Amino acid sequence: MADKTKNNNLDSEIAKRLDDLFGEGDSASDDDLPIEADDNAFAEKEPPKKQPAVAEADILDLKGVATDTAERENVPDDYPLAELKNLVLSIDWEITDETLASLVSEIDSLKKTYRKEKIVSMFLQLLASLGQYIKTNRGNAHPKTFKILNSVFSRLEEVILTENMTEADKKNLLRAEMQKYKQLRNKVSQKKAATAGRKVVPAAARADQTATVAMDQKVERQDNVKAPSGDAGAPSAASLAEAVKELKQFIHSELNALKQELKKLQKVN
Amino acid sequence: MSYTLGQKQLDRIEDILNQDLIENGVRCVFLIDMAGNIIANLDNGEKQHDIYSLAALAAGNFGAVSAMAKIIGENEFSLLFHKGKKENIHFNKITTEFLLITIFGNDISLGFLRLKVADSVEQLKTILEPLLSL
Amino acid sequence: MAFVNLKNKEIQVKIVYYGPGRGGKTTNLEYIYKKFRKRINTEMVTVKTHGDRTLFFDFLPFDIGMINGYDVKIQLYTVPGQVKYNATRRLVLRGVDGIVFVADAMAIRREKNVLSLKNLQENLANYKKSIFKIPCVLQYNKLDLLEQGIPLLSTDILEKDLNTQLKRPSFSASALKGTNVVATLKKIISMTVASIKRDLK
Repeated sequence: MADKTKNNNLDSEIAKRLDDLFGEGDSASDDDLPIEADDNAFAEKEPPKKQPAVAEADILDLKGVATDTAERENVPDDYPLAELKNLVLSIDWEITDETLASLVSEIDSLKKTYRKEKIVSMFLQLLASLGQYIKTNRGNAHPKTFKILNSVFSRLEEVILTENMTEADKKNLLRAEMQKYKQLRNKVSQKKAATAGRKVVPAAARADQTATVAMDQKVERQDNVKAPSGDAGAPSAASLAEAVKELKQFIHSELNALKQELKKLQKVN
Repeated sequence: MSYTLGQKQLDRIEDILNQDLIENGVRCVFLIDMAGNIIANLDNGEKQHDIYSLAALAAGNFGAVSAMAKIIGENEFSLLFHKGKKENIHFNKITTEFLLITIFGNDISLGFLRLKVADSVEQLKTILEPLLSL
Repeated sequence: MAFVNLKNKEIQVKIVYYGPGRGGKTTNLEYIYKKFRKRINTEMVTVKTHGDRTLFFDFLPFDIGMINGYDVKIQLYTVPGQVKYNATRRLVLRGVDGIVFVADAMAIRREKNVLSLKNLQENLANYKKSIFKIPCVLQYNKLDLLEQGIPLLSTDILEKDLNTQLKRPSFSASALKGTNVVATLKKIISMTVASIKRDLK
């Protein structure tokens, strides 16, 4: 009994809602056959007829699943960066262990080929750093890393493919990319400093002397450190300050090393 | 058959989507079922889309593409992604009943997005799978 | 299937307008959209061919407000009626909670109505749903053609062809003029929401 009353209440509430929404609406016409709702299921069921599937749906033409291959015109045969290009573009679409491993390996191989060309070597080293960083961090890599990877590669391609590019121009391109790399590294460091509260970072990480220490190596070192057990609460201000100081030191040393390398390059030319 | 999601579950879903996607630069993300119902919807505050229409079309789109896959002998496609000049849209299935749709600009690479989406999906599965046994 | 969001206190309900090609499914939605645009305050989505036939679906969402403490959101869909679009119809039927079967009252469409109803039954079975259990309302459309002298099936014949076993509420209507369009809609919404509430208990 209570149920029926409840249902009636529900029905009337729905009706009221709908009347509010649709106002007078349309009154039932004279031809109406309102067989009042009997929502009880039929006991008798018609066995469903089986028909072969007619899978002839018209295909809706959506905005297109387009690939964005940056195909260059006039690429010479035996293009030395072909495989590297392939890998960089693949990473844009899908990041897998295989692709990353191949990237790192291809860069190593190209480094040997171009060992006598300083600027190209530095470009390759940038790519190596970025590649290694992505490989180590994958989904935790800074989102801008991929754009910079593409950018460094594009500039490298320009340097290699443009005939008669002056050393000065090449250096400018390199500098611009290094600047972006530095900015990215700073962002990563800031991010790390911000999350340093969650982990206690040990003091005194060594700073590498070469200009091209991969930032991921630093990240790896930090990640390998285990926080002291049972220390789930907020770390002390002292340990946080220590971590920030350590990061600052690292950034300084990296910058200095970069400056040294650039000076060397300038002397050579 | 109907299904219900409680406050805690929905909060958890929103947290996952926020942390993994919105905070990584995704413009808009919505979780829907294959009927086109919106379960959760988050954006970065920049632009408001007509998400109800998007949800209906997305479900229809995904359904259509899945049917196409079967016709050509594929169980399913591993990537459904539409690239625009400024905005792109990516679809990911979660179990047989749900879809995660992300709208993102060109500042995020598809590869990176797919990694983040894969992470989100793993977490969302734990919340959504129990619903399917109801 | 209806989705209940306990956090936002919301229920989302999917109602599909089904029936033979050119029967008036889209016209039903267009009428509702035009007449109540200001109150409904949402846009209608249509995916059509160049020839103005529904290609994928039409979609019209709206809020009917609070019922028993829940915000009830209705989503109206139509399916493409042409026979060749069966795969698409099946897609659109996914998760359906209530159905309006729009039959074409023109005498020449008699067989098409029956075939379409059978098709609905098969497609529902695909999702393990029974046409005998799902909330459903029948609409016998194109009443307006009577005054143009076009031969229409009588309500008796339509009832006999389509509603003998189902025994569902039915309305003679003119989607073009709006006759009984809203009555049909109100009925299916009532039935569907009531059914969902029962399911949830």
